[in-house]
Parts: sequence; structure tokens; C-alpha cells
Amino acid sequence: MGRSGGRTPPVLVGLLITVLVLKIATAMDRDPWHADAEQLPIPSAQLLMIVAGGDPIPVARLATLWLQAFDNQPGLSLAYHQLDYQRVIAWLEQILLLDPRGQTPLLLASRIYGEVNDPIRQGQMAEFVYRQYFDDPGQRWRWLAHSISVVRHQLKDLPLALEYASALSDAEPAAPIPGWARQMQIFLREDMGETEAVIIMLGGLLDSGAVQDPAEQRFLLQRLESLKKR
Amino acid sequence: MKKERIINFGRLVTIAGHFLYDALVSSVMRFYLLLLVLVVLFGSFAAQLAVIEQDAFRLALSSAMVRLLAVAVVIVQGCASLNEETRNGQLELTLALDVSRSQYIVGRALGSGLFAISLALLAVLALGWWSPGAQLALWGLGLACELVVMATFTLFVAVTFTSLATGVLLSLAFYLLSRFIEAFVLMAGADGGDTTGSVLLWISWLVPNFGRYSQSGWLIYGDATVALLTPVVVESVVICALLLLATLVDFHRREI
Repeated sequence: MGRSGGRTPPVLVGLLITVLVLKIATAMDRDPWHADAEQLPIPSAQLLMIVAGGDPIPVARLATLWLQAFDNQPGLSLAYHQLDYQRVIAWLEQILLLDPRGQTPLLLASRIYGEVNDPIRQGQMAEFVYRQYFDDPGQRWRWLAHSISVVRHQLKDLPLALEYASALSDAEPAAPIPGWARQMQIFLREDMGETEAVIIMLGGLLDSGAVQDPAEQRFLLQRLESLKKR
Repeated sequence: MKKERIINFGRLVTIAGHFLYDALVSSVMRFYLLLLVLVVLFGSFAAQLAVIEQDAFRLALSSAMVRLLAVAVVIVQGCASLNEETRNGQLELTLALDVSRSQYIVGRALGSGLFAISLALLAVLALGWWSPGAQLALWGLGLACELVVMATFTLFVAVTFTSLATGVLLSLAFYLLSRFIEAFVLMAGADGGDTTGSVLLWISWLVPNFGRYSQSGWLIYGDATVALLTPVVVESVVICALLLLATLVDFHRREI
């Protein structure tokens, strides 16, 4: 049978309260904490490969979530344009190397980081999406199509938009890219005033039989007729 | 001297069953089940953070964490159990009965293997809701192989080193080496293949390449095939046989 506890010595209780008060008093005296914005580190391909341990996808996914949340740091929230976009791109590239079938890095590039109100950064992201598109056109065309619209309407750089759109129209016929995306080039040329080229391209497209949908055929035919009347 | 006869199924099943029962009712197992639930919840949290491909994020992170968790449980249970039996005299008592050393070790290895397979089954159940059945089964088989190899290695170090901490640390070191060996060899090769590269290459012939055992991509993109797993199963069988024989040799020379 255990011994029952006796009365705690008052000195001990007093000492406990004194030390507690001392702890709070010293903490109140310290300099206030302040948040410092951290910049993205440079990704190391070798380190990521080692950490992956033969199964790179979890590392890719974890890195994606980390990168996606990097603008929210303890005590402050960074605007996207405050991030070093070269490093953001380097991270997105590494993540795609670890998980080439993942679509989130390209979504982040085209629709999140590419939507900032800064033409240089928007251009950097669009260029990144354009480069990555060639590795898997069948899966990545949608991000390039969005970047083309950013380049066309926000950067107002028609020749660049046309260069990107040409990549979509020049893709292998077997690649699962919808007709509207392949036809972006034609409408960009129309915007650039290249009416004759557009007439030739639209006529060629309709004659080729590549457009199967009757509604789409009708739309393109109407467009062709209106261009011919100009 | 007792007659050495390993193949006595009754005794092997008794020793294996004893280990399995002890492991399944242990606090480590309750801890595993609790953490399994937390891992699934964390996977759901990660999926909520993702903008697209929510299931891919959930499966990638949950499967990686479940694997690490199961490996940790196999190591801790394997080392702690033999250490406890040695300290409380149960090992001595068992060997004083009509049980040979070989039967004891083989029975124990069988029990450890069954425990490892039970952990893999629970991991499969935890991820079952989000992944296609056939792919999940192949991933589960890969994980079971990984855990069985780890269980056999843990038995080897637990027999060889009586210290619990040494056993756990060596098992962890072996696991990390086996998981990262391919990256190490590739990196050493990329630098020109010097002496370090040769040593790493020799090591890679001895240890399993866990990086190929259970890929998250199988669950997410469904590209696992039986052909992909066949070498994994063969490698596991060979390594387990090697480790079991090493354990038997060491256990026979040990003074108890």
C-alpha cells in the first residue's frame, strides 16, 4: 500500500510561483518578434532524387503543395510578384521531372503565377508552359492554350501568341488536342490582319476533312465567307 | 544434445502464432492503427489543399507515409519483442523445452513475415477507397515484400545485437540504404565511377532495391503490372532466405 501524500511545503509552492512570474517577466521584456520574408531556395535535382528514394511522386506532390503555399509565410503573405520567378520556374521544372504526368505544376504556371499583373513575369510563365508543352502535347495542350490567351489579350503580343499557337496546330494528328485549340492560329492570324492567309488556311482545313462536327463546319464556313467578302 | 529437425510444422506454427498474437495485441499495433487513421486524414487534408488532381495528392502522400509507418512498426516490434524475451528469460525457457534453435528462429521468422503481411493488408484497406482494386493489390504485394524483408532483417540484427537501440538503428540504416541505393549508385556513376562508385555497386548487389517495390505511381496512374512485380518477389525470397540462414548461423553460435 502506498503512502498518502502529505502537505506540500509552502516554500516549494512559493518558489514555483516566483519562477513562473520570473519566466513571464523575462518573456515580456524581450524584443517583439517580426516576420521576415524568405525567398525561395534554389532546388537541387540531386537532393530531390535522393529524398525521393526510388518513389519520386510523393516528393513531387509534397514539393508542389509547399511551393503553392510558399506565398503564405508565418506572419506575412507575399504577393506572387514578390517571388523570384526564375526560382519558381526552376522548382516547377524539378517537380515535372519527378512526376512528368502531373498537371498541377502547369496549372500553377499558367493560371496562378501567370495571372500576376506583371508582363515580364507573365511572359516568363507563358514561355515555361510553351517549353514544357513539347514533352507531352496530348496532356499539356490545355495549359498552352490558356497561356496563348494570356499572351494575346493581356500581353497583347500577337506574334508570340501566334508562335505558341503554331505549336498546337503543328502537333501530331494523333495527339488528343481538340479542333478549337488547333485552330487558334487561324484566328490569331485574322487578328493580325493576315486575311488572305486565313482564307487559305480555313479553306484547307475544311477541305482536309479534319473538322467532323457539322456545327463547327458551319461556323468555320460562315467565317470563311465573311472573310472573303471583306 | 537436442536433435535438430527444422521441419516440424506443429512447432513452427506454435512459435509463429505466439509471435503473431503478441505483435497483434501489442501497444505498437494500436499505435499503428491510430497513425493509419491520422495518415488517411492527412491525405484528405492534402487533397483539400490541391487545386486539381486531389486523388493523386491524397494517394501519393498517404501511400508514402503508410509505407514508412509500417516499416517503423515492423522494426520496433521485431527488435523489442526478441529483446523482451531475452531479458525476461522466455527465450531461455522456450529453448529448454523440446524446441531446437533452428525451429525457434524459423518459427519466429514465419511469425514476423505474417505480421508484416498483416500490416500491408491494413495499409491496403486504408487506401482502398481511392484506388482501383487490381493496382492496389499489386502495390500491396510490393509493400508486403518490402515489409517481410525488413522483418527478416530485423530478426537478424535482433539476434546478433542484444541491445534494442542498436537493433533499431541498424534496421533503420539498412532500410534507408536499401531505399536510396539506386540514387546513390546513379550519382556515383554520374561522377565517373570511382572507388566509391564501385563499392556502392557491390553493396547494391547485396541489398534489396526498395525503390522498385511499391511505387505511388501504380496507385495514381495505374501502370503496375505483374511482370514489374515478379523480380521484386524473386528478390525478396532470395534475400529473406539469405538473411534467415545468416540468423540461424549466428543464433547457433550464440550462448544462451
